Amino acid sequence: MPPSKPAPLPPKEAALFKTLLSQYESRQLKKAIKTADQILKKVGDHGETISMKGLVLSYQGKREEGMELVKKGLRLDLSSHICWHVCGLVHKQDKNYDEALKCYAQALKYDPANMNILRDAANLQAQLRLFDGLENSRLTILKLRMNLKQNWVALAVAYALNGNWKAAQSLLDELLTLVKEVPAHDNEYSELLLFYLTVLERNQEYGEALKKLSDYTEAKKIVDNMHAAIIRPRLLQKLSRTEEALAEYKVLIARNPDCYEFYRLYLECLGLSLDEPSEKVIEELEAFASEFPTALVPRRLLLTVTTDERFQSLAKEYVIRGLKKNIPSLFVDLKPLYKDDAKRSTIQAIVEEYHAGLEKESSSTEPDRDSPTTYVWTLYYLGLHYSSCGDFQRADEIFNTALQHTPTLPELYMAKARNLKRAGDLVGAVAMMDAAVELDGQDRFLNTKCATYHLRNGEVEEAQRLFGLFTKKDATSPGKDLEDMQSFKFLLEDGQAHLKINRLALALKRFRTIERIFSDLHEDQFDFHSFCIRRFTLNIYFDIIQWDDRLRWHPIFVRAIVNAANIYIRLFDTPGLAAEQTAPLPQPEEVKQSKKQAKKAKMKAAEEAKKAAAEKEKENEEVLPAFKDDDPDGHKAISVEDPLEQAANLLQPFAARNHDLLDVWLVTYDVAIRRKKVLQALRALEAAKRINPTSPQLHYRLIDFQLAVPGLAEGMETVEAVLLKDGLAKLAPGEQPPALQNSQYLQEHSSDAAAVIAVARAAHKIGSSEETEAHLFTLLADQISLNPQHGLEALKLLEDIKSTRMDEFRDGCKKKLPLSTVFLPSEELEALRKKYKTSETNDGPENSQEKDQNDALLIEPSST
Amino acid sequence: MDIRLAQPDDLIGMQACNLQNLPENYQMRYYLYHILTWPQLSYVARDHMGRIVGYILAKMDEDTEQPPHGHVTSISVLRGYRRLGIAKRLMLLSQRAMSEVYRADFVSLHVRKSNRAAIALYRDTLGFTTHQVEKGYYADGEDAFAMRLEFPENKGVHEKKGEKDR
Repeated sequence: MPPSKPAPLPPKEAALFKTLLSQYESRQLKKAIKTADQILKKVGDHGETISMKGLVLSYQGKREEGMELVKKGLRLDLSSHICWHVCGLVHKQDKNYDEALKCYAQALKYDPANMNILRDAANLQAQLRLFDGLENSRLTILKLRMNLKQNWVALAVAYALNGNWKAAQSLLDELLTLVKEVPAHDNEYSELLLFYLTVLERNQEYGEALKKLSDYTEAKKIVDNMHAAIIRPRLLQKLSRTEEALAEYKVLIARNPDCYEFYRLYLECLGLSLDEPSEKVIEELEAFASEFPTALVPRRLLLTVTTDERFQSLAKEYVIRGLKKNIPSLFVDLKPLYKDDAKRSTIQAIVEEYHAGLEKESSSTEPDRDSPTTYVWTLYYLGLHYSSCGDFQRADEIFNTALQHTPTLPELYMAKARNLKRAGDLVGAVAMMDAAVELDGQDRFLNTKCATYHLRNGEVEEAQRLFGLFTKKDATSPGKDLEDMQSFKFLLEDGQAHLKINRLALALKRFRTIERIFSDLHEDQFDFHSFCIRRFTLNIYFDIIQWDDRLRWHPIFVRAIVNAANIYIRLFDTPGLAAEQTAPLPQPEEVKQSKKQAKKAKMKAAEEAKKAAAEKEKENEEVLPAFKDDDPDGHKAISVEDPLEQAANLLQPFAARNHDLLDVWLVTYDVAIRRKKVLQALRALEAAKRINPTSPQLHYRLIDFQLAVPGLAEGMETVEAVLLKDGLAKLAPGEQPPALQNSQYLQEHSSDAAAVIAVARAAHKIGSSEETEAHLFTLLADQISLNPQHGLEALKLLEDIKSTRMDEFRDGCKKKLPLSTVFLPSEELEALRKKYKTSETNDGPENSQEKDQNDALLIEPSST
Repeated sequence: MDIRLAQPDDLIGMQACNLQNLPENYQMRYYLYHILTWPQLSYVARDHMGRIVGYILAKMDEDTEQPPHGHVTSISVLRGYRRLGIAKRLMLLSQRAMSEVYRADFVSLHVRKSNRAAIALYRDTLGFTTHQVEKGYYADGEDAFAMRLEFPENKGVHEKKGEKDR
C-alpha cells in the first residue's frame, strides 16, 4: 500500500513553497532558508519543506544538519517525489551514487514523468556505467519529449554505450529523416553525422557509410574535414578498394606529414609493416621523404627500416644535418636505434668522424665551415652517447671539454648532471643542475628538472624552495600549489624522496594524494555526460568514456599504489614504526623553513577568513564541498591500525583482473602472504611467472613462498591444499629443496647483478648469512656490470645481516664506479655536499637567490 | 617525433608538459573541457616513447559579441625539443581546423611582452599582428600582447549569415 499523503499546505504556504523552490533553483540560499522557516512556523511537520531546508543547508556546507533534515522530511512524507529527489541530491553531493540512484527510482515511482529526476538519474547511470538503466531513462525521456533532437541523440548514445549498435542505427536513421533543412556548415549537425557514420561502421555497413560520407561532404554537411579524411580511407580499405584507399591515405599524410600513425596505416593498407622492413617499405618511405622534404617522420622511419650501407649513408646525412642544426633532441631521437648494436656503432663512428673533422678544422687557419656551436653540440651528442653506453668517465671528460668551450649552455650542465647521476654521484649531479639554473633562472623547465634532482637526492626542502620560484605566490606552499594543479610528477617524486629519507608519513600521504586525484579525474566526468550530448561532441565523448575506464591503469597511478602498498607492508613488518615516524622530531635545518611556512600559512589563513567573510555577505554564493586536508603531514594516514588491509584494498582492483604489471603482482604476493591468503599469493606468483619467468624479484618470492607454505598449510581445507600442491608443483617443478633452487638460479644468471642480489636475499631467508655475504661480494667481480642502485641495495642487505665487511664492499663499489659518491659514508657525503654549497655561495653576492626569485617572476620562460 | 590530434590518452601528458614549462597552469578538468568541446583544435607532439613533448591547447572564443574566432589557450614545447619547428607545426594544424570546422574569422592569443622567441614565431613565421597591449595581464603584472591572425578565406561568411538571421 502506498504511504498516505499528508494534507496539502494552505494557499499562502503553498505559494511560499513555490517561492522556496525557485529560490533554491536560483541558488538564493539564505532567502530560501527564511522562506522555509516561514512555512514551518505555520505547518511545522511539512515534510517537503523540511527536506528542502535540509537540501539548502547542505548546499551551504552544513552537511550533517542538512542530511538530518532531509531524512526527517522524507519520513514525514514517504510518497513525495520531492522528498525522494532531494534525498537523492544530497547523496549525490556526498558522491554516494548508488544510494542517490535508489532515491531517484523511488521519486520516479511517484512522479514518473519528472524530467529533472529522469535526467539526473541518467547522468548517474552513465557515471556508474549502468547502461541498461541508462537506456531506459533515455527512452522514457524521449517518449516524453519527442520534439527535442537532443533526446534522440541521448538515447542513441545510450544504445551505443550499451553495445546496442543496431538500435542506435535505426534510431538515428529515423531521426535523420525527421531533421529537415539543416543549413550547410552546422557544426553540431556535422558532429551528429560523424557519429552516425561511426555507428554504421560499427555495424559493418561500410558501403552505406562511405556513400553517406560522400553525400554529406559534397553538401558541406560535414565540416570536420580531418575526421572525414581519417574515416574515408579506412572505409575504402574495408571495402577492399585498396587503390582508392591508398590515394586517400596519401591525402591524409599530406594534411599532416608528421603523424606516425598515418604512415603505419598507409603501409598496412599495402600489406606492409614497419616491423618487417622490406625493399618495398623503404621505397615507399623514400617517396614520402622526397615529397615532404620538411617532414620529420619519413626520414626518421627510414633509419628504422634500413640496415648496413643503406643505413650508414642515410644515418650520416640525418646525423650531420641534425648536428649542424644544433638540434638538442638528436640523441633521444636516435637512441631507440641503439637496440641494434650494429646501428649503434655505425652512428658512433659517424659522430666521431665528424667530430674529428671539426677538431682538425678548428686547429687549421682556414675560416670555419661550421659554426663553433656545431662543435659543442657534437660533443654534447658524444657525451650522451657514451653515457648511455655506460662509459661514464669518457662521457664526463667530453662534457668537461664542451663546458670549457662554452660555459654558458645549460644543456651541457644538465647532460653532465645526468651522467653523474647514472655514475652514482648524486651530489655532483645536483651541483651541476644548480649551475644550469644559475644560467637561466627564468626557465621553468630547468627549474623543474633541478628541483627533481634535489628530490632524487632526498633534499626535499631545497626542492620546495626551487619549485616555489614558479608556483603561485598565494598558495600555502609550493607543494600545495603543485598538488592543487594536480601535478602527478611532483607528487610521485616528492613521495619517493620522502621514502628515500625515511619519512614514511609524508611519502604515504603523497601516494594517497595521487590516488585521490585520480578519483577526482573520474568525478570530473560527471558533468560531461550531459554536456557532450548538449554540444553534440559524441565521438570524443565515447573516447573519453573509454579513457576513463582505463584511467586506473595509468603508470603513475600504478606506481603510486605499489609504493603505498610497500609502505603499508613496512608498517606491518615493523610494529612501532608508525609511532616512531609520527613522533615530533626537532629538525634544526627545517626550523627556518617551517617558520617561514607557518608565517605564510597564517597570512593565508587570515586572508581566507577575510574572503570567507566577504563571501558570506553575498547572498547567492553556494558553498561547495571543497576538499579539506585534515592530515597535512600524513600522520593519520600512517597511523592506521590495519596497514595490511589498507594495502589489500588498494590492490584489490588489480587482483581482480588479468594484467601484465609485474610489480603489482609482486606486491600483491607480499601482501597476500602476510595476510596468510595462500591461494591469492599463489595466483600472484603464477601471474608474475607468466610475465617474466626469470625475474629476480620473482625468484626471491618463489623461495619465500616455499619456505612459508609448511607453516600455512596446517588446518587448510582439502580443496585448498590440493590447489596449493598443484600450483606449487608448477611454480617450482622437481621438488628440489629451496637452497638447491637458489644455487641453480644463480648458475643461470650469475652475471646479472639483480639476480645475484635476489639469490643473496633468498639465502638470507633460507638462513645462511655467510652465503648471503659471499654472494654479494661476487657483485664486485669484473664481469658483472653494477649500477649504483644495485650497489646500494647490496649494501643495505649487508647491513641487515650485520656484516662486518661493509667498508670493504663500499670500497669495491667505489672502484667499480669511480665517479660515484653514493657509497661514501654519510659524514663524508655531507662534507662533500657542504663543499659544493660553499663554492656556490662564493660565486655571487649573498642575496643572489633573493634576486633570482624576483627575476623569475618578471620574465616567463619562452613558450615555444 | 609524432604529431597528432590530442586524444584522451594525451591529456595527462599535456598537463605534465605545461606544468614543467609554463607558470600558467590548469587543472585536468580544463583540458577535458577543451577537447570535449572543440575536439578538433588541440594537437600534441610525442617522442618515440609516446611522451608528450609539446602541445597546443586551443578553443573557440565564447564571446558571442565578436564573430567566431579561435583562441590559443596554451602552447609549449619542452626545452629539449626545440629547433624542430614543432610549435609552428602545432599552430598550423590547429589554425587549419579553426578555419575549416568553425570558419573562424581569426585566431587570437596572448604572449608575454618579453617572450621574444614566441613573438618572433607568431609574427615572422606565422604572420600574426599585435592587436593590442593588455596591461598587467599576467599574474605577476607583466603586460601581454594580444596577437591575431586573420583567416581571409572566411572573410565575411558570418556577416552574411548574421544579416539573414535578422
